[in-house]
Amino acid sequence: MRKQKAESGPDTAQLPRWLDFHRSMHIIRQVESRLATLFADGEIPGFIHLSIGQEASAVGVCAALELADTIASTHRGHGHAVAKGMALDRFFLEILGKDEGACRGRSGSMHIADMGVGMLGANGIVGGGLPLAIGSALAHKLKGNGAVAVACFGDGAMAEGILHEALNIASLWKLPVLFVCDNNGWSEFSATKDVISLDLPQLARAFGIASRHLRGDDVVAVAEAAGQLVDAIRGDGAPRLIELHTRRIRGHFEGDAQRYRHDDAADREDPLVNHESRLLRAGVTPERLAEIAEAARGEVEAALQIARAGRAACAVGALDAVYAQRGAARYG
Amino acid sequence: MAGAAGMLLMPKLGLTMTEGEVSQWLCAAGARFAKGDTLVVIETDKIAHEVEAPASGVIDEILAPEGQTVAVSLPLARWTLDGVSPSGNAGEDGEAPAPAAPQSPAPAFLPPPEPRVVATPLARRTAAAAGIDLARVTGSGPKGRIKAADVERFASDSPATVSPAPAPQAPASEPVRGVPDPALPGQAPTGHLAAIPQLHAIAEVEISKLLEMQARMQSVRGLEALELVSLLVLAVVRSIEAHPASNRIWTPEGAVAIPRIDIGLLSGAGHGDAILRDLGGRGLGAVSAAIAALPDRESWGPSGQADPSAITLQHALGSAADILHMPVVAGQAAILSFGGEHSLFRPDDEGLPALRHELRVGLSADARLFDVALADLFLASITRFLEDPLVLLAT
Amino acid sequence: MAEPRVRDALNRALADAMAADERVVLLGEDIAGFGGSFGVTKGLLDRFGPERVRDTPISEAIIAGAAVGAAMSGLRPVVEIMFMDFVTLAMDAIVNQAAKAHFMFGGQCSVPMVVRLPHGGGISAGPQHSQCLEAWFAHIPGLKVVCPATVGDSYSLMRAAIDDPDPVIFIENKALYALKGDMPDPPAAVAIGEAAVARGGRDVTIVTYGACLGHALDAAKALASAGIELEVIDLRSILPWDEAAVLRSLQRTHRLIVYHEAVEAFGPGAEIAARMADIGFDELDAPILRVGSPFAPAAFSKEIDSAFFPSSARLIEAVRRILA
Ligand SMILES: Cc1ncc(C[n+]2csc(CCOP(=O)(O)OP(=O)(O)O)c2C)c(N)n1
Ligand SMILES: [Mg+2]
Repeated sequence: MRKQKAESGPDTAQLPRWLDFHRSMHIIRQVESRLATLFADGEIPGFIHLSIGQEASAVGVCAALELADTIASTHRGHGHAVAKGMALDRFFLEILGKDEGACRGRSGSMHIADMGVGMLGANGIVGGGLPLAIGSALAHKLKGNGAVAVACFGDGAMAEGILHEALNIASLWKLPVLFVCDNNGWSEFSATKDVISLDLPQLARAFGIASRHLRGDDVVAVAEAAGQLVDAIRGDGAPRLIELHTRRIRGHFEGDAQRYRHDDAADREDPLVNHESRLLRAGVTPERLAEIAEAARGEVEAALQIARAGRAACAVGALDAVYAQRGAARYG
Repeated sequence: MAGAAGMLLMPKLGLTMTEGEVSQWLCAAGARFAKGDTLVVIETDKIAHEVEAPASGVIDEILAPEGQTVAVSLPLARWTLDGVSPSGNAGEDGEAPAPAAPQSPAPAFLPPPEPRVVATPLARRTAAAAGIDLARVTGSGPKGRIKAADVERFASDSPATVSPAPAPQAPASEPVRGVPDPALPGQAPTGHLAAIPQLHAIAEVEISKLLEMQARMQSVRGLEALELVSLLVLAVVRSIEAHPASNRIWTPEGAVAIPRIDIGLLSGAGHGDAILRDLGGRGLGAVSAAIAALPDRESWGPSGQADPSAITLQHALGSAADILHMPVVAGQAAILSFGGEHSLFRPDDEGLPALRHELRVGLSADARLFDVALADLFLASITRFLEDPLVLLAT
Repeated sequence: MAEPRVRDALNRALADAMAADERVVLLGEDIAGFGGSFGVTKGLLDRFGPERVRDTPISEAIIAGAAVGAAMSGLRPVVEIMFMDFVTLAMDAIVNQAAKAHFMFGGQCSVPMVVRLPHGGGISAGPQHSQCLEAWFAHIPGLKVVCPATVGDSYSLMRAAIDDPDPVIFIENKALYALKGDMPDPPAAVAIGEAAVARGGRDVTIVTYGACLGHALDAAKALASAGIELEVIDLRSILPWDEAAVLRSLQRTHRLIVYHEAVEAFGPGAEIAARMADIGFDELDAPILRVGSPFAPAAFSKEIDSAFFPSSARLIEAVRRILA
């Protein structure tokens, strides 16, 4: 104990939390890696966007949230779903298109949602989650429940007008929103710097929204900043923004050959490696880290096996689900 | 009796036939023939077929000499048949020399078709009900279109010419006639799919009473989870009991009766099938319990189990899917495919629109085991049980 | 009290709904202080306060999108889009988010929101302030679309729309805001999807909604003196629409004209005609006709604007054609 303190001077009280980050990031990494192989093996149809390299962002931000807080995510939303507390079997059942999935196999990866944990959905529309978070924040505010809504967007969405409308109304109405920009440098197949001329810190300032801009490869730093911002939001009810510079380690979607990719946010590190070195410096043994990672792998594998054994989603009954009111409008 | 000039056309002798070769004329130009005489021999790569005269008459001119290949529905000869109305290939009693060929756009040299009678749907319905030939009615609508009022005026002006139409058949419960596939006449039985002659038939079933019954039974203790499919299976079991000939399979030795009633269930998602064993004489509770006891669909075995059932059932209840036509494979007698329930309006007894709940059932069968009559009877039995579930439960 | 107008009925319905259920909130441009461009929300700010009656920036996309998120989080938002034409800027929220949520999320949530859209021309508002775009929404599974034409229905359908668990597109006709009429007391309950027979008749069925209802009734009155009796059906709901009521009427008259202000081609009438030609085929004693606006944008000029409007004279001409 004394040795740890002498070497790196970490706050030992933080250690359980840091180990928890380690575990959560490994779970997300493992989830995404397994999805990559399942996709390559043809077990998942459609397209999936993985958040490998951006785990610290999801884990760090969600560490600041409570169950009653809500989050509206993007097409790259697996990390947010898991970090917000979605059960892994429920998650995989959905991604594999099973009847017992959270969305009965109708959303798959790109729209995955779990209302029970305040996950308002990944979104197939770039910028689509922003207004949902605004509305959710309005509901929190009117109910006076003290909850915060998180509006996730990628750097590509800076070019969507809806971001500007969202920042304006959030500031104007003093809504409890945390805007989170995962800036991985890419807008699909174009470098964002080639398609965007604005500067996010300046934009936030223009709307009078306090913001933080930091590397997204350090989970502890992300959690600290997000925690302070969320506390501030809970304090005065006004919105905040956090921009996290991350690295999209894989392609835009699985199967992306990335021929367009010549330069990159090369100085961004793998957040998992980053965090492991911190933990080692803090005196955690490599064996302990490996053990936690192994346990995470086991947890993911178990959930995946449950999901594989699920019942395939079925067109039977699907027509009756178009409306919340039963039998509202059924043609033919 | 005045004869009618017309065309002898190349018949369509099989589903895949597009053309045939004139192998031999057995009746020369100018020669008379009697009903049933062989006129010409047609060859395809599969068979040789003798075309018989549907009625007596005379060959006026041979248009396709021997050795010539002629597309289906194109003329082989001009002929005059005794006492036949001018249009068509058919004889007096309506039996055609070959299955009626679909009338593709008429080549220019055929006699022009009769002018079409232009009438509104309601006028047609009114005329059909009153037995009025629309060709005799003058239309007062745009370009002479016959309207319902024109038919009514005609009927009141000339009551003597009107004869009541035959009682209309209830359209919903009438099984569509089975169509055996003529391209596959009884070959040697093998396991190969294409080698099994298939027969398809379809019926529409009104299930309002069935749905009502299901809802009522779900309030009974022990039947809360009663699914529609249990009632479908029960109706099929009762129908097999009523028509034991349906419960046979084809083996190299021919048709073999199955001593007990097993029903296969095909999962819609293609995961394979499961078999409900020995349902003969069992009631709804037992059938429902047997279905509930089945493992999850995904763990169902691959199709083609060791001891397959003669009759297999699949359904798309609760979905928009219509019936799927599944070909029967070796070891199966028939597949019953139930489509999703749908609502539609049909006229009630008074001709007023009434909302009905229907589903469609398709029968695909091995044509060596099911002839058209058995298919009709079997489907009619299922239809009756489903439309009147009291009978189903009482039987 | 003076006879109420459509605008008063809407106002009263909003007020009653807000009084009955505190989850109901109003969002829109100039709806609070100003009372709405057409005066529908007048007085509500004073009664319910600025938290629940919210003036928004001129940001249609975020207004509609926030309503979706608010509905998913437990509110019952009612959005006013100033003119239906501006809904183009809010389509993502309505079509991709609201309409899909219940289905796409496996029934985990529904989106009980109302989007109020004033449609219709005839007031020289020009091409970008006059359109009737209801067919767009009726094409989207997951939405409901209503369009009342009377004072009573304006109240009743608004209450039904706010109570509905699904997203409802509530179309108000600009020309009808000032229309006076009966307000039953207590107000009638009208279910979404239920048509009304506005006038009985034996010769031709006219299916209509919105501003065309009045013109259809005018035509019916004019033709009655010539011995022709129109049966006028006020559809009230466009999705789901009352197939049974239309079919029942067709079964009596055997002739059907669908009459609406929306552009005729690919309009709501196309679906109604096609469906009746299918399920009502044997009832027809004449082809089904449609009377709608011509295939052109609305125009500013009074002459063009009124020439394009599907007037009762055009309906009468169609009646003569269908009876020929
Ligand atoms: C409105 C809209 N336009 C375009 C797309 C196609 N698209 C999907 S993801 C994407 C790139 C988004 O980039 P960013 O927001 O930075 O997210 P990232 O993929 O980097 O996580 C695009 C253009 C879309 N889904 N929605
Ligand atoms: Mg990006």
